[in-house]
Amino acid sequence: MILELAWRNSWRQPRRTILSSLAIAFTSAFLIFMPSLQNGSYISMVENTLRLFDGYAEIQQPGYRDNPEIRNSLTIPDSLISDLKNIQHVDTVSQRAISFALLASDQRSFGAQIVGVQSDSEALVSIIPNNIKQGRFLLTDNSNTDEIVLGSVLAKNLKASVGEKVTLLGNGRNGSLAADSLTVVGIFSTGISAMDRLMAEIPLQRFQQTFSMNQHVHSIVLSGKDISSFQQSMKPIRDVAIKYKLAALDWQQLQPGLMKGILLDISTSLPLYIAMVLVVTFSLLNSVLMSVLERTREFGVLLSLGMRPSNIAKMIWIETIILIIFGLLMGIALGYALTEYYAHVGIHFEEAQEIFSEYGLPNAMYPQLNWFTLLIGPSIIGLSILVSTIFPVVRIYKMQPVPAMRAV
Amino acid sequence: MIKTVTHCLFIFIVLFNTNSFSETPSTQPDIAATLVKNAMDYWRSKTSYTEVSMTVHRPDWQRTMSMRSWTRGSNDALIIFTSPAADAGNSTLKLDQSMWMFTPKLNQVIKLPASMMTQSWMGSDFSYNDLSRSDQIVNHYTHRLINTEKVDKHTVYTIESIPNADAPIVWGKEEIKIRDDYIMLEEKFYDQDMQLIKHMITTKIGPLGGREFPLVMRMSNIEKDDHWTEIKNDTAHFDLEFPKALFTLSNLRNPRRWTVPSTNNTSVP
Repeated sequence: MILELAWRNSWRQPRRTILSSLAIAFTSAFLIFMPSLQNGSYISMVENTLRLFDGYAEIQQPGYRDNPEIRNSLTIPDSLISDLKNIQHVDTVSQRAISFALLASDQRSFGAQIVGVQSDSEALVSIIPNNIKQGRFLLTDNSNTDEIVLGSVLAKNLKASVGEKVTLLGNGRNGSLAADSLTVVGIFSTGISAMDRLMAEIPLQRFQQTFSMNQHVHSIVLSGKDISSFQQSMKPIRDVAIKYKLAALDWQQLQPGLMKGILLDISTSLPLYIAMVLVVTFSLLNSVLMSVLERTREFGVLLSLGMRPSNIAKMIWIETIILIIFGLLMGIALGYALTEYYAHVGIHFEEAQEIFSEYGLPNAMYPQLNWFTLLIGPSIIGLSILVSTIFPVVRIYKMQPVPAMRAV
Repeated sequence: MIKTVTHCLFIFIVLFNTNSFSETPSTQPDIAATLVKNAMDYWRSKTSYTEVSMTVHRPDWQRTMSMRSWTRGSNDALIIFTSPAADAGNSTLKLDQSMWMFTPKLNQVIKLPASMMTQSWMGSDFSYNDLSRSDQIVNHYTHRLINTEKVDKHTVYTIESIPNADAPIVWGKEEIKIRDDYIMLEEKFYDQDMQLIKHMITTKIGPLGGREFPLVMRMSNIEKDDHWTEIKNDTAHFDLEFPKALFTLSNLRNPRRWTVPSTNNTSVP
């Protein structure tokens, strides 16, 4: 009976009920769409940054990250690669060896980061092979091929073009002089200035020979389809690393600044969300309180007829819950539709393309919906409104039948 | 001769007139600068030939290389590695501010950028400039005598050298200890925050090439534990006449045989 009363009460003032539930609906739709948009931009930022060069995770000799010396290298046990490949979500396993060296052309010389790579899998863990602007990428890992690809700025600095020879001078793993003469086969331009200015890639085995590395490498780069599912495999990846006394680094360790940036962004947008929840909570509190106060005489009659205050309170609760359910259902539907729509179409920022590419973002943003972003905002709104309903309810317990009936 | 006179004059001032320093600080830099310059000249002489072995020590490995080196004046130097086999034949030639390298692995002469001279030399803790005792320390620093002490029978001067504002120097300051016979005992390198980065100590002094000379010097990396490089001078000859062709690119690529002339073995400066 109380349920029915509450239902009828709700529709005695249909305009107020609809307006209140619309307020809830729009706020919760906003609180679904915005976090989804942020989530989507974080994911694409992380993926784009990691696809530049780092991969989703790396296996290294413990301590290499802090002290990337050529001697901090690892030999690869036969079973390590297959162990890694057997882990779910790990699609790519690519080996690298890295050192700084001097590259010299006829009259000029510049320092460069020389990376020995596996030519077939490098394309899956870095953007360099897909951004060759002149010539081609490396074709083999073979030590007999004297090939090198250079970053565009490095090539320009060296005045080296495709087909010309450059000389490499560095220190080998055993301390001896590492020297090699290499033919430029390709020039890459990634748009990332640090890579274009500093990097050069050569076949892994050529690197190992030139730098007296034997079979050593510096890093095993892992990658998969998307970072979210890949993250679930970090535990088995760590287990494999521990088994071989190696260190596994996830994306947060590879790009510590990225996670800090994300946390900063979240902490700056959080006050906005809190303010929105507060605004909608107070306006709802206001309308519920109004509906209680304007029925003071009615409640006085009910009390004098012998209805218990707890039942009236229950009625108010149910009225509020009806409002919330209406509002949230509309809000979730609206938020879901909006988010899913833009998740397919994308939000395009043509003008801001340059700024975006600097942060490793594509020029379109795609919101990413998941259970968390779908439900967290609406449930916080619902809960805060419920909690705030305590105030009107307290008034009912304070009511005396006679003065209530006489109230204006 | 003039050198000796200034030297004596200098000793005279230091020994008998120490108090005057605080009163007339303007004379101080000159004395300190003269000390440093003389130490550099003593190290290099007009010309020098040395056979040197260098041990690079790291916590997990160690490696020794041998080389022959020729210097002429303050700017020209030729170094040829003789062992281990992997590095034998690698050589560098420095003429004024230019430096070239030759490696038989490539059979090719490569010009090195000037910045290489301040960086780690052959993976060691010495830079090329530390080794060649280039004129940098004389030209680009302001020197100040900060301490004078008596060690055994020698007077040891401690000099603080601060690079001039416009000098192309990475260090914040250097602290040098020079013995009164111009043998450099210690050299400390501080970064811009005045933190000690590298510390070079002459651990053994003895007669070499007809004079007292540092036999063993060790450069320690203060920032990294158990990282040091030791240089041993096995043979040294000073003020020899070198053939003109010695310091040339063609000699770098194709070194002609050169042996120490027997008559000059015990030349005294």
